[in-house]
Amino acid sequence: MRIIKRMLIALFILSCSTLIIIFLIKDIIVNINIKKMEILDFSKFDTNDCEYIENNTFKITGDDPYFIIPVTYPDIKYLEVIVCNKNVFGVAIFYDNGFGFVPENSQMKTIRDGIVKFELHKTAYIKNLRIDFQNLKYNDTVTMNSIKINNFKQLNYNLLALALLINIIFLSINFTLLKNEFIRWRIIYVIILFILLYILDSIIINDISFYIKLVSFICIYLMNMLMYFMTKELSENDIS
Amino acid sequence: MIFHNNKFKLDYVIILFAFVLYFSWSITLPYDSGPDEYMRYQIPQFIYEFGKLPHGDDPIIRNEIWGISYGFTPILSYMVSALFMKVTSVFNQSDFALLTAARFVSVICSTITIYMCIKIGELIFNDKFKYLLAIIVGFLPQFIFISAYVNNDSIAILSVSIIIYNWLLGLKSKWDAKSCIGLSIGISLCALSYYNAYGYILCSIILFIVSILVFDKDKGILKYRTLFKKGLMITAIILVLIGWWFIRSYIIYDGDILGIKTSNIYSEMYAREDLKPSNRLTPEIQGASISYMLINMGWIKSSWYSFIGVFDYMSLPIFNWMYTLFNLLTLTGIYGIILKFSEVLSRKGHLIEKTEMLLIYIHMIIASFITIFLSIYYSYTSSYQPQGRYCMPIIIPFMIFISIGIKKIMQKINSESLRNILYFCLCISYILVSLIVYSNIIIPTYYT
Repeated sequence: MRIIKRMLIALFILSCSTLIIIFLIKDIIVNINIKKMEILDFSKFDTNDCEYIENNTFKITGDDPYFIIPVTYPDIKYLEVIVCNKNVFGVAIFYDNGFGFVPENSQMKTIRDGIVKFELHKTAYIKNLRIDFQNLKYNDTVTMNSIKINNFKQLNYNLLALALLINIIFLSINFTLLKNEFIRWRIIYVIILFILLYILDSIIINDISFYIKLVSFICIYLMNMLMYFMTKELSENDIS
Repeated sequence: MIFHNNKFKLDYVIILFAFVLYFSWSITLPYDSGPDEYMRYQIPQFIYEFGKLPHGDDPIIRNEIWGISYGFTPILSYMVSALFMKVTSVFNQSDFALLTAARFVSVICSTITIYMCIKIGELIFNDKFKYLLAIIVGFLPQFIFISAYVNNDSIAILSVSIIIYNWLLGLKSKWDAKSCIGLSIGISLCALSYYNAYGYILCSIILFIVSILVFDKDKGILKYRTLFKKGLMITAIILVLIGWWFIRSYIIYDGDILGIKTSNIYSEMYAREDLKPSNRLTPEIQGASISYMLINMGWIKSSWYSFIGVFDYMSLPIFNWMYTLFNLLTLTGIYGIILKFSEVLSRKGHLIEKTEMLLIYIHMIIASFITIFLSIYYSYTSSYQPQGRYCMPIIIPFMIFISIGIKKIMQKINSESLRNILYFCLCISYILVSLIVYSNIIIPTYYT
């Protein structure tokens, strides 16, 4: 019982520490990515009830003003809109993943300090992205500083790096646990841990719930523990 | 470090890991992503909502397409599911929480099966190969899948593992009280789980009688007295544990204790026209021979592949290279078994010494063939469903033979170091395959 208790405590500490690291790093990655996001050229937008004048300014010409971003980024994940006008109340985005601009695939946010950021939760393929301005009347103008979107693929590489980091933690734990007499196992360990890296990356890049990710991470930890104990047992007793 | 220098048992890590993996699958799979899960889940939902066992014909649970429900056949696992749902509902009544609670029975049953496999391995191998048996049973993709949705199969496999463990224990201890009670529990679980596993009940009876008559040290009438005394104890326990269900079926289904006949009658009455038992285009009705069904219609191939791993409604296979790996492992195991068998035949003295084990192996083979025969019979005469899950009750004996075969081949390797590394790589890569199935097939299928 004492051993199980120890194991559970260790597992809990390891899980918590990794999760904290994940969320800290994820936050940093997201911020870096937003800074790196691509600024779009307004003049290329398709518009409805509004038209591009000049200097990043649109003039409202009807009741339902919006513009459509020609998405050449199917993996778009983050969107940031910086609006200069103070009369724009909020921004709504609609993303079309093959079924048109339906309310189910939309988000609306109030602008604070001239900036609004969206995180698209669906990793589904996005065909078109539409941006609507709230609270605007005929002949109003909207001047925007920038609209930036980021490519999810870019984030994917960062997550891969994150997965690598987690595996380095695993690796160091295993190497610390293993004493010198088990040195012959280490090359196999490295190969297996790279496979674990591949598995972990596959889990991370998918848009699954926190609980599934948590349980999956625990699984990977247990896999490492299993490897350790199996090595230990085999080194103590021959299988025949 | 925290795990240094303690005698931590690998058994617990394997069991805990298997439990977490099964649970992980169970929360990942969306509702109705296992065969007929929506029909199966109706039973625990009914018990949970109304607090009573359903009549198989209750319109709430009767399926409009098939005209029947799973309420006609034993529903032990669904009853436990309902209990888990009730407990969960105290904290959370969301659909997801209740479904996870219902699935938790499968998770628990499969985790106990892993424990039983380690115990069986201890009795058969008495060395590190007990882990190989537990791993190749517990991390087979189809077994993990069965552990993650609402079904009766997981409890059937658990009952088979308990039965086989008690066969081994019984023959070793000359059927002491512990093994008799264990066998009774195993048979009771089996009887209340799945008809495909009933071969193990029949074989348990034969094995019990034969083992006492052949191996018991008592002579003459004393031998029969022992047989009667122990047999009566096992029967009494079984009757207490399962009698209520079959008496209930006898009363409400007009003498049909198994519920199969009544289920067919209702299917004939309410099923969609083309799915009524009399209208189904079974291979038998089509005039196909059994061999034609097995080979030309692809029954063997489909059943084998779905025994390894085909998920959802038989629509989500694993990667081809994984099937190749499992085929290679099986062929290696079979080759090892042939080597072992030829070695045993060439040493007759050894064969006599191991008669007790031989008796168990023969019964495992008979029980497995009964299971396969029932699946073939069902496909041929009732509904053509070449699905490996119908053959899953053979997984324990099948994997025991594969483990014996692999051990035999590994013993041919002289280097201890190489033998250990090979064993380690085999176990770990087998688990890694199951993790890749989860991360690269299950999650992307349902979450992208």
